[in-house]
Amino acid sequence: MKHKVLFLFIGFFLILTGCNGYKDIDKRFFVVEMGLDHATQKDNKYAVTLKLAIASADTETMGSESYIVIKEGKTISEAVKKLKANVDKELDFGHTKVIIIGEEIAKEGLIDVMDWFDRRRDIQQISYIGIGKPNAQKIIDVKPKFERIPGNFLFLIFGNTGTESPSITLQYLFDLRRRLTENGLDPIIPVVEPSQESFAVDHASIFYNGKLALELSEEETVLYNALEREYPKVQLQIENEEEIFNISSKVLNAKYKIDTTNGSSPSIDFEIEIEGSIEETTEQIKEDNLPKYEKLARESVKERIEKLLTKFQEERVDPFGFGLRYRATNIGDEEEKWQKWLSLYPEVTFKVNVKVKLFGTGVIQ
Amino acid sequence: MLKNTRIENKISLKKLLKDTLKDNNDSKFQTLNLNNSKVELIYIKTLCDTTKIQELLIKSFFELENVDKFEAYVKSLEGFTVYKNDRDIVNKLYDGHVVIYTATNVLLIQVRNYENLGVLQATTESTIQGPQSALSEDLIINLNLIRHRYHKTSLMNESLNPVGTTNQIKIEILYDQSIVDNNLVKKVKEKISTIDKDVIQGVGEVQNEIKKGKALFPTYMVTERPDRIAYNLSKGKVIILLEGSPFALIVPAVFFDFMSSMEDLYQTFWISKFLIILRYIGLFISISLPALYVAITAFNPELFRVQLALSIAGSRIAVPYPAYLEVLFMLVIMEMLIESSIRLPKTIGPTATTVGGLILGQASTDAGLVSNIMIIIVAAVAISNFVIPLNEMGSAIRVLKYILLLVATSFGTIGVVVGLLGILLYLIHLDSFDEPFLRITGSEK
Repeated sequence: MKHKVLFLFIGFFLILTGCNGYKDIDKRFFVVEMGLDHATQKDNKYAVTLKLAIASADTETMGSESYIVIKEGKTISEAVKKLKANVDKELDFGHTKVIIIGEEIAKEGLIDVMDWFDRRRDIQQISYIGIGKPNAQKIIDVKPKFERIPGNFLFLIFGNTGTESPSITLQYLFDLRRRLTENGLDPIIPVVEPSQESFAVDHASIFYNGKLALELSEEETVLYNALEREYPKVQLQIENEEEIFNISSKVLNAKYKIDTTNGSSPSIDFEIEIEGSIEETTEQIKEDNLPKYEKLARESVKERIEKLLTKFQEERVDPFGFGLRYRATNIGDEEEKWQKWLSLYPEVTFKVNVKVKLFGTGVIQ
Repeated sequence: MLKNTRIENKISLKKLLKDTLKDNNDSKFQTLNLNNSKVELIYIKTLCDTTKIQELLIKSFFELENVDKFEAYVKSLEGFTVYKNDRDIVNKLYDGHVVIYTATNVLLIQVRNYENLGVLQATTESTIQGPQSALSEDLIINLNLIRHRYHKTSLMNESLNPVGTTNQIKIEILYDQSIVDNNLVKKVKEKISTIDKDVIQGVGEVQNEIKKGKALFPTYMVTERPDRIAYNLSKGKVIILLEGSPFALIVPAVFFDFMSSMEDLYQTFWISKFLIILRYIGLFISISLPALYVAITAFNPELFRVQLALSIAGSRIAVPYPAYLEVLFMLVIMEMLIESSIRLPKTIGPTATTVGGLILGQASTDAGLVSNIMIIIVAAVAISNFVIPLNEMGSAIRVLKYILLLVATSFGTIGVVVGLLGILLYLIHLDSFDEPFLRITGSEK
């Protein structure tokens, strides 16, 4: 009896290993980047580009090589299915941390496209999304010379573990879905462009109704990141007729309040606090004159923020989630509130209050 | 009349002794004659201290010149016991007693000579700052060591019936009467009296005989440290000592006892807390690392960072076998190394392990049998296994990791989780003399 049980167990063990998801790590192809473009053939819709990391036993060259495959299909699933026949190992999307969407597709709308990514169990919801300009394939094709592991450049850029730049916007897969489906919060996705054998991720695009609506400039992106993520390390260049100086901020706080008590003229009040020091000047700046420069900076920042917010308002986009905040802080029927907000938003006036505190003129006097 | 039967008895006894001992080369029959007095000594040379016999018995017999005086003198000596029955005499004879025949009486006196008396160095549970000596292989010395560490009048020492139907090994229990649970003492005595085995040599055997049935985890603690014994006595535990064994058995014991070293008491608070945490990390690593390796690489490689996933995949490229065979192969080799280093002579032990560990590890990765990462894992498992302070528990953990490896291979990460849960449940179900094995707080007593 005991032996029977043992044999049964060993039998199960041998059978189950074959079909229970057991797949050795060296029999998997890790997809590190995935790109999505329009198909070039007429009857297909999507072209899927995958960057596969090639593992190597040699520690010197380990993992620096990659292999790029492209297939087209009516759906993403079909293209991926076709791709599986082109490679010798199982495709593993567990490490697909960067998803690049071609600009053309972004202009047509993301809601249908993202469905595949959201449903797949193996694609991690913390993947980063980027818009590929001019298209996704061009981005996937770029291979920076110093890249130790395929895709590592973009991983580090988006992961904020390497460079810390205020112009890089972050968009996770899970957050993108939320922003696409939620009323009153619009997606903002960084734009990735090839530049000198590597990438530039210096600005972002805002979506409206799932479609690319507004491409921000680099300066606007920095400002948005500072306000939305309260990204503290921001360089602000202040110019007036006589001089140019740079403020490097250490602390940045941004708060806003939606004031709809005054029915016909609602307002959004921004409170911004910046603390920092002067980093670079064209004129000599004395410590005693700091209040003057604080005032200059205050006025300049205030003007820029107001301009940005008005721009959003004119394009009817809402990456800050004013609409969501309005819906969350008012009671009533959801649909009614939403319609009310749509009518309120164009009427809103922005009241921006900036406080700038300068600590010094750097380590030199 | 009474005297007559006694003399007859005596003669028959003498005959019995002569019959049983005549083939024994080391038995000694010695007759002392002086004037009209005659005394016979029977003893086993190899068990007795002959110089002591010479000093105590033979010399004084000739000095006293009188059998009655001699009898009185012998009766006053330390180690004198009264004659009970024939069977008892034979047993006593083999316990280092000298049987003395005078014309009218039979006297027994213990003049034991026990080689191997030295107090041993603590080797299996060594500490850095604690006492360095372990128990010896002699009961009396062990009692001496323990009593010197536990000066309390309530420390009781009971001698039980010898265990081992053939080799008749003395067994004793020790407890602090003022704090021990009397039911526990009763139970221990009962259990020991049920031991039915021909030959018993070590406390491990006693443990197995008391427990009856197949066990993986030790539920009684085997220790060689007198300080641990004294500490446990003060916690109301019962100590079982066995003749000829430099280890004692402590009952009952819970899981967390096995994870504590005496060192913890001798270090400062934070150091000992740090060491304890380290030990539990070691425990977790040595149980689960091989299983986690298989489960994560073969089922859920997305759990790694991509850099690590690629380097593991790279190092596995040359390996032709699936990960679980690779792990199994390396673990078996490691077990061989550990086992052989126990058996090897002390002088070549380190060399053999170095040769085995370094060369085998290097060569097997070069040959493409196992991956580099695998070597790291096996080394980590082997090292962390020895962090567990008590050898028995370490061995149990050594076995356990294979069970976890099996479920990991069949069911992946879920298998590891369920396997760990299973181990936890099994530990909960165990008990040691009615003390729940996984009890976290100490007994109220």
